[in-house]
Amino acid sequence: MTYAVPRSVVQAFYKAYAARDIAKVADFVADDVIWTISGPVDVLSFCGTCRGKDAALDMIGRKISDVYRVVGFEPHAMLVDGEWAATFVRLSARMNSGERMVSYRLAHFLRFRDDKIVEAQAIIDSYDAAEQVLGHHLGSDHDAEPDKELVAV
Amino acid sequence: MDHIVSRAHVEAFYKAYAARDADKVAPFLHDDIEWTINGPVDYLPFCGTHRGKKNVVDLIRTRVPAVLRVVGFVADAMLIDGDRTAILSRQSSRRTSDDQAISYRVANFMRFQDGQVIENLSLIDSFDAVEQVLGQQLVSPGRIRAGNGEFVVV
Repeated sequence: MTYAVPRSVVQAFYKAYAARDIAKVADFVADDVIWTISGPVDVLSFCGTCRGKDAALDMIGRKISDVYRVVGFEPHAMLVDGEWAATFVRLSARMNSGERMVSYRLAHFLRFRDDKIVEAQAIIDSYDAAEQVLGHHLGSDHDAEPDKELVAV
Repeated sequence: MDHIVSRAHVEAFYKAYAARDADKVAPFLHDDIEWTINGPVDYLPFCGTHRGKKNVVDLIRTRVPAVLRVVGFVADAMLIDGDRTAILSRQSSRRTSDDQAISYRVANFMRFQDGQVIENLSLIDSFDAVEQVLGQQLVSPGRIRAGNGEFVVV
């Protein structure tokens, strides 16, 4: 029989994840999970691929918290289909270095097995996120000449 | 009333879209469609919100190819739930100016109405995409700084 994750499991996971309740999040993460957040690791140090439950929970519980404190995690769309769940989210956070707020969009694609996440792919609006975390426009960091040719219009 | 879109219908749309066949994509687009791609429009001019079928067809036919020629668009995950679909794809492209290979992941969240896409939100790893389109790093490691003059990452 083909496994399908119940919507109630996905909702319970996101309730714990949005609250950054690591103990409860842990209940939904498989030992052999592979969790990837796409983005520039030099700027957003929590990006990259984490292999295994301990590494994934460390990323969620510590690496992200080292950069900012999440204060809002609002799913605008949540889809559940078979073993997969996908969400489109607006994340809001307060930078640790001061009171500055950051807010950007991200997408999760989660694959479950036995009601636990075995694969997570996060796509974030990384240019926007990086600008907000750095606190300045990236356009000033380079000459905006793609191989001597302007792309901007 | 809830609308439900079939997997076969979504797959037919995706096949046309993956091939960037604007003529075949057009029948799947609602007249009042709103199509949003995240990213900095200064560097990726196809980003932003495009309203109306004509503009979205123009986006697929002209505006994206002015920057990138998509040569591969493969779905790693395709979810269908009621009137919505979410698709995670690997996009392979060639930079139009010099044929340089560019590759990044794309998440599409779409809502269908009467069998046509009325809303699309595309999320891409925009930092990576901009670096590849520009052909240079946006931030050199030695220049990373936070707004308050602090170093965020070393």
